[in-house]
Amino acid sequence: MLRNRSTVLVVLLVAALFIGMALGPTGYLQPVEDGFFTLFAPLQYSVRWVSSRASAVVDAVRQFRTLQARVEELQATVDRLMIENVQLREAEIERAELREQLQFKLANPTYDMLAAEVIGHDPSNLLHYVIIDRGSGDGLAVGMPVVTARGLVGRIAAVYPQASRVMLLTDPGSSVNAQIQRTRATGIVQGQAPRDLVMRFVEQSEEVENGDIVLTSGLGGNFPKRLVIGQVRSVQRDDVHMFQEILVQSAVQFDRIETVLVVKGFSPIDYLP
Amino acid sequence: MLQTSALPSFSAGGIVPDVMLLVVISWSLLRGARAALPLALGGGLLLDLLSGGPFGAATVSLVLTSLVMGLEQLNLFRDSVWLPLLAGILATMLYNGGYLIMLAVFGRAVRWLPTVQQVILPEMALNVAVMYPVFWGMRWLHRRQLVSTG
Repeated sequence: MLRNRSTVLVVLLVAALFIGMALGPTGYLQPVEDGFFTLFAPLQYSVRWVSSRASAVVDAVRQFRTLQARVEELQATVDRLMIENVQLREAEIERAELREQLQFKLANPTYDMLAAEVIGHDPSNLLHYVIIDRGSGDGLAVGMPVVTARGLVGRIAAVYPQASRVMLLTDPGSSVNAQIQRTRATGIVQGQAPRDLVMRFVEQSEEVENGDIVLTSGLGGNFPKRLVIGQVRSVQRDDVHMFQEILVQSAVQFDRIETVLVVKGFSPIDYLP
Repeated sequence: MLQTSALPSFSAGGIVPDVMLLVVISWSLLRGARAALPLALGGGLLLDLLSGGPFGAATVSLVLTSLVMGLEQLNLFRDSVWLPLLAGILATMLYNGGYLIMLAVFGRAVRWLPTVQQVILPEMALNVAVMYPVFWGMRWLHRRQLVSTG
């Protein structure tokens, strides 16, 4: 019985084969093919998806040891590149600072300048001093002006053999004779809490505008002339007081200074820190 | 070194927490004023050496603050969770107030109100934030020493 069935099946399949072969080239078989693929394509896709995932898992298991080694190798590469990246960024920052300083030096050939690195800040938030890595051994002396390419930073308040302490312009004890570049009006720039610069003793009659450049005047002999202090940020003028009060914005970021230039070739007159 | 060379890199608007002050007052709270006196004196002298302010200003302010913080009455609240917060606020006011008075005495220009508003209050906030880990660290040290000395 079973044998008869399988014979019938074989005959039917052979017949289908011949019919297919005969009808294939004529195009009559197209609806059958369409139906077949409509039914089986999603199934095919699912089987393929599962098998590819399974194959990936098998591959992963097979390559586990290799992958582990590869991950470690890549991690080491990432670590190395991160360190290199940090070093390159630091080098770029340093290079930019040195380029600025070099430009400043070239623009001011009359000054004998020495570069120094900031190695510490004052432990108190109430005072604004920094410690630099150059001292009397490098020819530094009390009162010497300290600058960056962005402007005046302050002056040396104390020297030690290997280091010096610099009083920043923003320190409440700092005062510098200054003038407005455009009008030549003179006054005194003083440090003020928290980190402001205020120009005082400018007569009410003097014309001062926001954006005016403030320079050292050289009066008093404590600083060379024409060093940039900053720009006028606001002017307070009234009828009650004798003088104007001018808020000055320096381009120097006093709490982030890393390198400075000490103007060695300038001797202040009677400077008392 | 930490105070002058490392912390300024993490300053908030140029203001840094005063770690030396926090260490000294923590010790003072835990051990009393007398035991903290050498630390206050040593720490103050170190700060004075590193600072551009008048010599002795930091030491005097730190010792006075340490003496107040070491009062027996405060030690009663040693285990309170609020103690570091209150101590941080009080110590910042006392230490900086004392320091400002010393600056004024030595002839420095002091603008009281702006300094309190723009320097001391932000420092107080930072000190309070840092006070907890410092105080807990010092308490751990204190307990360890008590155990080792029996």
